[in-house]
Amino acid sequence: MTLGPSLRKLFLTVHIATSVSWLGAVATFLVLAVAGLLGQVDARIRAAYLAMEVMTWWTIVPLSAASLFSGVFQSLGTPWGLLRHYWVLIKLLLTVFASLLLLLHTRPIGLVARAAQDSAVSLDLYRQPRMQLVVDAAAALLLLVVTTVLSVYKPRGLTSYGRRKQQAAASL
Amino acid sequence: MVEQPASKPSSDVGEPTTPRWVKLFGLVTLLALLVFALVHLAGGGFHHFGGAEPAPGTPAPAHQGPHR
Repeated sequence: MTLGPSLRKLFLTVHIATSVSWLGAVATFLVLAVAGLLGQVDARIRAAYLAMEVMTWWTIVPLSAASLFSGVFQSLGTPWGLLRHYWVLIKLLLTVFASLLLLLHTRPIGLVARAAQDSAVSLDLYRQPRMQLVVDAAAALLLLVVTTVLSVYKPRGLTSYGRRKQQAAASL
Repeated sequence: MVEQPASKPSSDVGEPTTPRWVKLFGLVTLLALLVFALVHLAGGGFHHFGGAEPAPGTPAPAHQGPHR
């Protein structure tokens, strides 16, 4: 399946927009997670965790899904393929891993946000998940930077599947 | 971000082995995953976020005042 130039550009535009937005959203999430952990003003700390929950469900999760699916469609619709080049394959694995990690961590985000809603509940009791949110957001940000670098530099290297495909195409 | 293969390297054909950058990347990724898993386990495990909640029988958090 090879997409026409117009459709290919459309998918590429969607993929770039969603991927870069996802990176930006995770960076913002990290800032809020750090502000929530190190902040001194109770109301600001609680507001940070409430904002993080909204961001997760209404920005980060949809963007991660859009980035993943638009990337898969984009690669399948071009001669790059999904499994032929190491950089595409690695980027796919990293994106899937980041998406799964994100879904796994919607629970602690919800937990801390619920606690933040109730001003009678001390957030000191949630020190561990709050710390974990910082670590995980930093890891996710690093991962998304790596996928961006791979996309821009496109380092050489065919997978064994890619080599077989290329040899088959050459022998035709 | 997959683009049109206009910039596709032509010398891929003559490389029958796994590129060095892939091996290095794999090694770094394994180490990073190991560190990540250790950080999580040290913090109480992947499933343990609920562990930060007050255990049953502990004083109700409502009595702790307007702390963080």
